[in-house]
Amino acid sequence: MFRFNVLFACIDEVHLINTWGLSFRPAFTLIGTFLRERFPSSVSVVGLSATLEPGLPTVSVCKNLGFFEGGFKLIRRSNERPNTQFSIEFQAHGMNGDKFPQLLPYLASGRKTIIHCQTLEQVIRVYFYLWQLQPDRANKLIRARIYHAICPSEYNEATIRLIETDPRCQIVIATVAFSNGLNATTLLGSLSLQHLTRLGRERDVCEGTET
Amino acid sequence: MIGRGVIFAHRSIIKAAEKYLCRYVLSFVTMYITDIISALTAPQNILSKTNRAPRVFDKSKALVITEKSCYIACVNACYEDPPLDPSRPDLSRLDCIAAGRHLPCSLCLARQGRTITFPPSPSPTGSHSLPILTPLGDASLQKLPIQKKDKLKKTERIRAEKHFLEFGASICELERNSNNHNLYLPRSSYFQSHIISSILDQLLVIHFPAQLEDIVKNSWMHYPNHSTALFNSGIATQTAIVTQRSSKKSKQRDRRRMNLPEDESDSRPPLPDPASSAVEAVNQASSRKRVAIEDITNTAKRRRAPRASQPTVAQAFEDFGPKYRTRRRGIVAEGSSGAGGKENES
Repeated sequence: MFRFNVLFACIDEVHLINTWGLSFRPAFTLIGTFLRERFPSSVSVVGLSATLEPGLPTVSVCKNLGFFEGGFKLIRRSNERPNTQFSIEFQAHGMNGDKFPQLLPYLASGRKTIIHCQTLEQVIRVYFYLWQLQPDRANKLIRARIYHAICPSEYNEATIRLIETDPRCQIVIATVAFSNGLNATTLLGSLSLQHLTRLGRERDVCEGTET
Repeated sequence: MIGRGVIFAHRSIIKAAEKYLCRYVLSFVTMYITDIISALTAPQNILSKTNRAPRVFDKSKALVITEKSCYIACVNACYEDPPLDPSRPDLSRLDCIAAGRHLPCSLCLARQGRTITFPPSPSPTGSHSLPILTPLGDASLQKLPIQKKDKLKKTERIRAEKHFLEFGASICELERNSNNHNLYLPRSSYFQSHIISSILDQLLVIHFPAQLEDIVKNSWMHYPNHSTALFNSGIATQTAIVTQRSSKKSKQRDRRRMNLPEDESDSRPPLPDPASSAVEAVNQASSRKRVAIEDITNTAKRRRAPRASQPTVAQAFEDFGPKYRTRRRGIVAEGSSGAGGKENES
């Protein structure tokens, strides 16, 4: 009964089939097969991505989802974010140290910011650095929060709630992989450490350019 | 509200991206050739692993990193983005200045010589602004190195620390009595050990409340209420240490004076007249032929003193043997006297 009431199935961040499906999450390559097996052919399957390149990557994803020529519609829109300023800063030193002073000018304005890190270990290093810089009187547990797969789900939910509602919560330090699903409309800045990634989501609110 | 996205990358990533793009093009050419060959002959894998582009980047990332004119135009080209304004079909491929983008990318912004101000996130009225995060290095760089004489010795530090712990206990009592909400806070949280440590590091160079404020203002929660008490306590400790040091010095000086022998000056040889000796020295120096390196090789053979004659056993025993009577010698002496006695009797 459930299957027949389903109108459509949607796969968000569909480009991850190419990147994660190879080794990190091999099951991602079976999403298309799974959907075709479980749902009647009348149910539409939608794949969404803002960072799926045209050409081979698109072909690969379509093949994985069972989208064959003539059987699907490709809708391509611009991923340009006219309300976001985009820049790349090339540093003389790497991001493997314990100090990240390059982040501070961007945090000084008090804008709610997400810091994307490549690894869990880098998340901890950035968090500890920012912890040290905060004065003792400040509520250190609220101003900067970490957001990654190892944190308890309650903690991650609280982080999203705080960044949305609490003016004292300014910084979220997240892994790139886990923050793929993060959707906080109050985030005005995205700082990515040595990684080209998406900067935000809701186009009308603010958010970032996607690469 | 306007957003901002910044990517921090190491400079070496540019070179890596360029290398990737080279290999990417090469791999495409090789793939094309392989396809032709495989179509003509039996299928075989000609592509070596080194000829394949590495998967660290994808093409669009590598292109954005190596971009020199406009990041937005580059991203639009990579993703084949249609223009935001359908009336201008080439809009997405133009750079930010030509396209008239409200928020140009950093490359175009540098060319334009413009700056953009990013306002803080909106906060409810009446809420305090968050303190600015300043790098740790700045404060330490501004700090002048403390001289050795201004550092506390081990015993002094222990004594001063004890004094500050007592001060912390008094603050704890005061705060607990004044505010019921603080009843369940641990004692150590009222005056933390790291604050004591930072004060002790600079105790002897604190002369004004402002100096103390620099040390503890951002780290001690109760500073606004107890700043005067802390300063007075610090100055009292400092005075005690300085007084103790000066008294110790004067005592040492006195002891040195007392230890000097009275006839020390008499025992020394009389000093020559400085004026006459100087003149003599000048005269000698002028007449003397100075040699850079004088020969100091000993040519004459050193004569050894004649060896003393070997002492006899008796003499050696006399000089180095035991002065008391040993048991063996006593027994031998007794035995010989006993035998002699018998002989005498017989």
